[in-house]
Formats: sequence, C-alpha cells, structure tokens
Amino acid sequence: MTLLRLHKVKRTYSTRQGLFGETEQVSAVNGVSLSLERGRTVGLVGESGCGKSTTGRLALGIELPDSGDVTFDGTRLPHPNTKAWKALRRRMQLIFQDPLGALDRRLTIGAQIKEPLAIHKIGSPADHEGQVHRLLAAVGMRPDQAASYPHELSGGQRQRAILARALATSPDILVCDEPVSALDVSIQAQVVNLLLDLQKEFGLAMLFISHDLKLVGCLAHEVAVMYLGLIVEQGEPATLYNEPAHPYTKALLAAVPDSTRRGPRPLLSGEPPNPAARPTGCAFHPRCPIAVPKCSQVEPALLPRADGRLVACHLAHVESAAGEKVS
Amino acid sequence: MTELASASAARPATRRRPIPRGVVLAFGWILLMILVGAFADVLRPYSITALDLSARLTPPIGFGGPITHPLGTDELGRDVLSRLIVSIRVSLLIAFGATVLGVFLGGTLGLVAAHFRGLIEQIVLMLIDAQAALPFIILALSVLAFFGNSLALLIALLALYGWERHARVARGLALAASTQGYMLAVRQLGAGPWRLYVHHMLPNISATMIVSATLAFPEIILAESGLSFLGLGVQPPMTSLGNMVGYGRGYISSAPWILLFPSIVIVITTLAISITGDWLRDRLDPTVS
Repeated sequence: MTLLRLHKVKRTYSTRQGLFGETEQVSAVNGVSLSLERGRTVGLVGESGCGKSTTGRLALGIELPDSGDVTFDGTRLPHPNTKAWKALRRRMQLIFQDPLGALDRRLTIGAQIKEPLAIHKIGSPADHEGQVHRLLAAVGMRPDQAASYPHELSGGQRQRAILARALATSPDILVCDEPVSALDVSIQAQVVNLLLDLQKEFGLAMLFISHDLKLVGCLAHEVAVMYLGLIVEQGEPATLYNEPAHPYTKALLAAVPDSTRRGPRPLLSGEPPNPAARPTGCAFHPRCPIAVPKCSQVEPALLPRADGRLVACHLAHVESAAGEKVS
Repeated sequence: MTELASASAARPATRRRPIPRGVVLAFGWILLMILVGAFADVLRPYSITALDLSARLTPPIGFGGPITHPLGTDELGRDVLSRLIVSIRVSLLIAFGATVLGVFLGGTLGLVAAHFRGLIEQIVLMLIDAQAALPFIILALSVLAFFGNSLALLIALLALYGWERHARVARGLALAASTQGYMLAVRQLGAGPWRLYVHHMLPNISATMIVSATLAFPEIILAESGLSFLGLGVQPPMTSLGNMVGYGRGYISSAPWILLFPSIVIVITTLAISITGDWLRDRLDPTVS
C-alpha cells in the first residue's frame, strides 16, 4: 500500500547574481515521481547538487513543489506552518546529515527527545521520562545518557539520539538525508543496522538519501538514481547494480572502489552541468560516452524495461528491445 | 534522584566547578549595592537635604575630618555618606531599569525583524538607523523639555540609550541561528514559534545578549551622569551618582572626596557587573568547561 506518493514534482529556485544581475531559474527537481510504502526503503542516489535533498524536503512537505503533487495517505500535503502541517509532523520525520548541528547544544539529550512528545501532546508529562528511557533503549543507549549534553556524546551516539527523537512520535515515514556520511565507517554500519532493525520493528517507510551506492544497496528495497533533478534509472538494487542500464548508473558504479577490478576504471569526463543551463534533450548527453545525435534533441522518458526496471535512456531501450528479439 | 547522582558522578568537572574568587567578590559587591539601595532610608545617618553650613567641606575621617561625617561633607555641609547611599539607590534603579528595558525592547524588535523579514524588518532597521544617527542628548533634551521630568520618564528615556545595538545584535544572532540545524530540526518536529524562540533561540543567543547588556549598564550610568550634569537628569535636591560627580567637579581641587566616592562606586559596580555577566555567560553554556 502506497503511503506517500510524489507525482511529477518540480521545484525551481531563482537566484540573482549580484545586485543588478539577472535572475536565473535553477530547477533543482525537474519532474520526479516516487512512491513510498510501509516497511520498505527507497534509496535515492546521485552526485551532490542533483536534487536529492530537495526531493527529500518535498517528500516531507517542508517545501511545496512548484508543479506536480505530493500525497500522503491519499491527501495532498498542506502548506508549511499551517495547523494541519504541524499535526502531520508527527507522522513524518527527518534524520539530518550533521548530528551535532541538528541538536540544541544547550539542552540535554533527554530534554530534546521529550520535545516531540510535548509538542504533539502525546501522553502525560509524567510518562515522558519513562518514554525517553524506552526510546533510548530502542536505539541502544543507556538511560543515564538522557542527562548528557550533545557535545559529550560521540557522533554515532548523537545520531542515535536524533533517531530516538524522530521515533518519539511513532512516525510512518522517515526521510534520512545522508544520515551516516558524517560518521566513521565502523559507526556507519551500526547506525544502518539500527535503522534496519527499527524499520522491522515499527514498519517504517523510509526514503534514504545518500551518495554512497554500496550503503544504499545494503538497505534499500528499491534504488532510484538521480541526475540533474531527474530520475534516470530505478529498480531493485540487485539487478540495477549487476547490470546497470543507464550510462550514468554505469559510470557511478564504476566509481565505487573495488579491490577485484583490473585495469583502469571508466571515468566520467566533464563537470556536472549547471542546473541553471540544462542541456537540451537528455541532460546527461554531454558527458555520455555512447551518446547519439538523438540524445541531444529528444528528452528520454522514464520507461519500464522488460525486467521491470525504469530507465530514461534512448539507447538502453533499444538495447533491451534488440536483446529480446535475439532471445 | 539516583539518575541525578549518577549523572553528576559522570561529569563532576562541569557540575561542581568552584566559582572563581573574583566572581564571588563581584557578586558580593552587587549584593551589597542592592542591600544599600533597598535599606537606604535606614542606613543614611542624615537626611540628604540636612544642611550644616558651619561644617562645609569637611574632609573624610583619616584626612582630618570628624567622626560625625565619615566621608566628609559637601559645599553646603551635607553629609557625603548619606548622599552616596541615596545616590546608589537612585542610580541602581535607573541603570538596572533602563538596561533591562532596553535589552527587552531591542531584543524583541530584533527577533521580530528576524522572524517576519520583509517590510517589518525594513521598518525596524530604519528605526535602528534613525536612533543611531540621532545624538542621544538632543533626543533627551526634547523629550524632557516636552514632558517634564520624573524618575519613570528618565528610566524610559535611558532605555532608548543603546536599544538599537541590542536590536542589531539580536537580529543578527537570530538570523544566523534560524539557519542552523537545530532550529530546522525543531521546526520540522512541528514546534510553534513560542517553543522555537523561547526554548531554543533565546538560550542560544543569550550569551551575546548578556555581554551586550553588561556593556550597556555602565554606559547608562554614564549617560545618566551626563544628563544630570546638564541639569536634565535627576533634579536637585534629589541626588544620583552622576549628579554627585557632576556637582563635585567644581571642587575637585579643594574637596575631591565629593566626587571621588561616587566615582569609586561607579567604577567598582560596573566592573562587578561585567565580571558577573562574563561568568554568567560561561555558566549558561554547557560546552564551556
């Protein structure tokens, strides 16, 4: 059952260069469709600046899309800062990249975990203490750490505390925006395992935003690869990782360190293009090693392939169609 | 209770830090000043208007003066100690009142500007610039000329002295804080403006606001002395520290004690306020140990 659905959402920011400069339209997200289901994780990967985090904010309703719509449980998300929006915060939570920045350094961990309970008036204040201890136990922390200040904890413990705060209202959706990229690899594994356990326990729908392909492969049920505000390939991690269909996915996977690789790895040439000046046709064609003239003229649609995967590439569909004919 | 005990056992350094001796002294002085101000009517040996023309300009004890006037007398034979005690009450009332009022006014306007942005922010900024461009003495002159003089009016007027700085500081801090992760996180939790500003923003910007206030306090004492010196502040026969310094200036070579004792009180009090404010700022910040 679909809990949250993003339908062709677009978000454009306008920036101005200098005081008298012209305003530029930067489209951060350019028509993304995604759906989240209870107990399942969608991984969103891509290089920095491709619109992953904006997609996350749109999914949470922190920002409204310029066009397209986001529906949660069948209804459209309300305007930010309205009463309905505030009430909805109880059901959708966000995990941040920087665990120290996301905690108020002047309040104890316990006081901050209690906050969502107080905001949404869950239980009586007398129960909150016990609730905090249960939440801390759920994320693998000691009850006496409720009296600690954020700076007294390690990075992993801070991220656990933020998780405990996010889980306090028993949300349905958890959006994790690069939750472990600020942590050591050993701690990353702990936090990721914790996320997986919590998802099983609470049946959370998760949107996991990361640039770490391996990590997303470990925990997502479905992976979406973004490039310049668009999803270029989407499918189950096993098939997507074993035989990537989109040349961009191929290049991303080739960039993942692999000790068994022999010979040079295929590298992408050029910089990611400026989102304010999108290339015509397929946004990836200036960097694509296999681009044909059609790529610079016609924008490829995100279409399903025979194996159920969605790919936005003219050549990938030709390839799969040819492959089917042969077999 | 057991939790508290284990928490403090885990971090004895931050919880049981002894208060530095300088802060104890500063705190003691402020307490003394408050007590003197509160019980001024009981403590003063003479009335502040009691003239003793036969004992004009007697020096303090230790400089050839009699025991009846421990700090000497002024040009009209009034007891300097009595006038000092009453001056402390009047000046503390004015300085504390005006500082608190000024920080409250400036802080509120600064937060309002940072919260609403747009037109409201522009209006607040315009007010700030207008206040900063206007010489305070001219403003004080016109207000006092139109509305007469009273203690309440003087406090309100001196609150205008320095509010624009508090407003600027508060607005800048609030703008910086509102982009930080913790503010976004709490907003994302569905918190209302009261929780956002009072529970999270204020404690985080209080350190700088306290420093701003402790800087304003001595300035307000000096501004009040300036006004009194011009005859616009506290009106004789009432007295204040600035008033005493102002009138004692004429006798600085023949009877320096008239001016010296209130000056000493001004210096020590402002120093004590600064030390206490500094310590309070560190104390309120759990990351400083």
